[in-house]
Amino acid sequence: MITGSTQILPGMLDLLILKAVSLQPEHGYGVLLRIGQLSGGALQIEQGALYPALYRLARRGWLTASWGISENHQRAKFYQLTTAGQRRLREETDAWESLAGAMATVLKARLEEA
Amino acid sequence: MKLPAPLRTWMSFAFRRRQGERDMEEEFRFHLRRRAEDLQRQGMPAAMAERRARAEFGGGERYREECREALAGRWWLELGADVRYGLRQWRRKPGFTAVALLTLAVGIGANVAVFSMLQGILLSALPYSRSQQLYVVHEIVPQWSGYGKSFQVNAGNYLLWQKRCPAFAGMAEMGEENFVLTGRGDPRQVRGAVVPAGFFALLGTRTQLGRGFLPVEQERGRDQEVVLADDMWRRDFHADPAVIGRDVMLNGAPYTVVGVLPPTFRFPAVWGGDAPEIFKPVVLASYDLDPGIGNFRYSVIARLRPGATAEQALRELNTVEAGIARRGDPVRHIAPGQFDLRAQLVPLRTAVVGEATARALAMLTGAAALLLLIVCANLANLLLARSSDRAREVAVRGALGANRGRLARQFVTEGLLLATAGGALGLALAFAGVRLLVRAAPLGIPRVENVHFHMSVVLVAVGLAGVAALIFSVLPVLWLARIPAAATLQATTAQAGRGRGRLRHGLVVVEVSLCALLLTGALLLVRSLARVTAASQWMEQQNVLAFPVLTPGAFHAQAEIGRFYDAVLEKVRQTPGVVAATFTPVLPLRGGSWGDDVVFREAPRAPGDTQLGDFYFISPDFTQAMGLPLLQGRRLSESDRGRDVVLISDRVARQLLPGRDPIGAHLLWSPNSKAVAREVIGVVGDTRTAPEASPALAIYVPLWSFAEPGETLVVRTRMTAAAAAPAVRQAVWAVNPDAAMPRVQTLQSLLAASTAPRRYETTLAALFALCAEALAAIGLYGVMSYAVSLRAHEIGVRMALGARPVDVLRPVLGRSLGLTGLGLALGLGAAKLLAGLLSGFLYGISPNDPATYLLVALLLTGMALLAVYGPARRALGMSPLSALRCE
Repeated sequence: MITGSTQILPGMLDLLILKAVSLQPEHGYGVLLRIGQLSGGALQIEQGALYPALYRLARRGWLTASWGISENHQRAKFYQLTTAGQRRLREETDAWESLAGAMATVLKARLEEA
Repeated sequence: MKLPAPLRTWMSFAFRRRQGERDMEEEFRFHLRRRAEDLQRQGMPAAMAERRARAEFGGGERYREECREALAGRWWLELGADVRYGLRQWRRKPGFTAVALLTLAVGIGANVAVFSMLQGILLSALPYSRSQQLYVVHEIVPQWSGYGKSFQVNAGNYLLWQKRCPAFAGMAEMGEENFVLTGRGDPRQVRGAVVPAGFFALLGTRTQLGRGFLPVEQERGRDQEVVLADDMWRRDFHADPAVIGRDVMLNGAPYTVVGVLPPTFRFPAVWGGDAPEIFKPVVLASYDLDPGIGNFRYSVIARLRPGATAEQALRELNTVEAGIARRGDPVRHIAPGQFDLRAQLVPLRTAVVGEATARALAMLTGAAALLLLIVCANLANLLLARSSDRAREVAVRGALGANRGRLARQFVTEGLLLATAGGALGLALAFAGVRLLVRAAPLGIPRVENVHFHMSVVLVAVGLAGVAALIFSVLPVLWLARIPAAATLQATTAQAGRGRGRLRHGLVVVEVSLCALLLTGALLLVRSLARVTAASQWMEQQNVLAFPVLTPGAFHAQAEIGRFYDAVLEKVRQTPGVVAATFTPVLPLRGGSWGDDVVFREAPRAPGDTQLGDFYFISPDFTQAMGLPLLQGRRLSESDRGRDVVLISDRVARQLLPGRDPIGAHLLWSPNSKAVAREVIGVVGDTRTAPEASPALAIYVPLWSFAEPGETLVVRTRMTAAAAAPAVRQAVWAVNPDAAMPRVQTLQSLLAASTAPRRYETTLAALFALCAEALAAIGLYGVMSYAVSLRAHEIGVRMALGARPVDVLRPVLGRSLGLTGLGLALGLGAAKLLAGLLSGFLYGISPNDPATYLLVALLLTGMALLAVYGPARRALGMSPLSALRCE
């Protein structure tokens, strides 16, 4: 299931792609499926928008792309995380967690605690 | 090897753009297919699933564009678009493109070709180890400066220097000596040089086979050894490595080959001409051993000791020279202190290249640089004209939201594109030009074999193209920065052009003035060439053969040589068609001969007042064969044999025997220390030792007194020289079948060769001037057609109202002539200021020659009229309606 309801923020897409590809090499459609599966269908990406992001990440050296055969025996381009990509994923994850943590703290705050 | 990332990206962009595009499409197709399959699996009909998949994918083209940008980087993508746009502009304006490219190619091509010559001949180091330490030594006798500014070296003086000048690490005396090679096919002349032991080591050359000479081989009788140059070894010995120890027959005597030089060896050609093919040890004759003033027969190359300076070395040399001058020269009857003697050190490269060639190269470089300036002005002009055309385009694009930086980059890209293409074209032109220059180079130009297409030359071309690119890019951008878009959109073409009109007019004036400068120089050179050629035509040159006759048998006495020459002349005179035949050691215009003091008993002069003359040793037919007119008295005849008689040239008679009858005067001459009085029996026309020398003080002494081997046979024939040549050769062979006659030439071609370097330089300068004029004409034409197009409206209206064409055209014509006039005035003014620089190249014409200036003015005015003719005709041919409509 890849359609969901939550609109994703700019910058999140890159992180999601890196994460999705970090589990195993995926083609573009596979990345979408993976993100849908992992988020339980909550995160919605316009399908076409995925590709410019993939190309950008490949260009920055975080992903490599190679042609292979998909699970339904068709030629497909698979993306794989590079070492630099793994490092980037860790950094991004840390940054996201601290941001999300900070956001959560802020939003949970009540008047008397402040 | 890992390329830098931007380059890799660019390469993947440039070379794999198509591949990337295909990959992207396939990737998108795969996605859509998979999505449609999934939707079908959920129960959707196939057609609907496909539509749905496409809809979910979103704006395909937008994502494609984003992908392309992500793939290549936006910058490169825009560059690609700019390049394509630029090329489209080229197609749209083929005339502009062709002119701009050609202009650029001519400018770059000419400069690169000339720079190649400069680099190969003048700038590149000589192929010797530490060649900057090598010098040529000359000797100077200030009192004889009228005869020669400097001389070669007296061997006795040289021997003293070797002992007393510690600033030198080594010295070598060398001389030119040609041989007749026999026993290997037809007898043939080989160019040779005599050099001392240690000569090759002095230059830092090792033989590729065998060895150089030993000191013991410089003794008479032990000098029967030779070293071969690589090309002779290859040609005559088929590169046989077993050649060492073999004999070759030179001048009828066996010589043992002891060494072969490497192919990289270049002889330091201080005496010009082709390089020697064979080397023999130098053996100094007993009369060469005394130090003295005179007998300057050897060329000397010296190497400074490391750390020694040229000044120090020259001081040491001059100390020795001063001592020699103080003692005087009893052999040559020179009293102590009568003449001064000095040495001169000339860097070997300067000596090899020669002053004349160095100057000519500097002159051509200057001309090429002027041409380049004109090219730049012309390009700027073209671009300004075009940017006016594009004002509207820029304004529209600006109004539609293109930012200035982006538009500027568009122009820079177009400029770079033009410069790259023009530069490549120029390089190709230069490549062809260099080959042509080298092929057409006359024999007299040294080191021409060293002129190649060096890397440094390519760098110069790249630099020039870079400058052009800068002009191309910066000019439109500067101009772009100045236009307010709204104003341009509202303005008519005529108004938009006004401000830049002045700049363009300025550029045309600059072009015309530079062109006038170049044209003046070239015309002065052309007229000098005409005068030099005319000056070398004092004799009747038609139907004269001239070629050296070499005999393999060594002559041991002068009488033997004389007998051989007499026999040959007798035989040749019997040949049908021969009018006169003679032997001479020196041809006119081909250098000096024996130099000595000319004194007449009837006109004594104070001792020390030397008048050096050129002494020619001739046979009776000489004056007829050479076509020298007889002015007074009679010619030499056979009946003069055994009598002490002499012929003199007109200049001798007028300068040294003024106001008296030269016939019957007595020349006092003391060759071989034996004073003889020779009676003058005739006066003949003047002759010259070089095309640009003043007439020589020529003395003609009958050959039966002095004959040297290897003189030139000159034969005047009734038929064409070429037709007579075979019979004449047969006649010589009838006397001696082993005689070698290399290069049977006509006197005419020999004399033409003496002016060949000047003709070469002049042709090049004239070619540059022609290019300059063509460019200036293009520039003027561009400005004029623009001026006419701005006035099209006005002209149309006035013609419609019945104005005469003359009235309508007057302002345009006036403008053209006005600009040309201003340019002319500036250019001719500059020419007058720079006249001094050119005077060294001119002959018989003043650098301020008014006729030349007038000619330049006429040529450029004609050009101005021509440039206005086309646009004017267009304007007049325009119907009033179309003229009015063109706004």
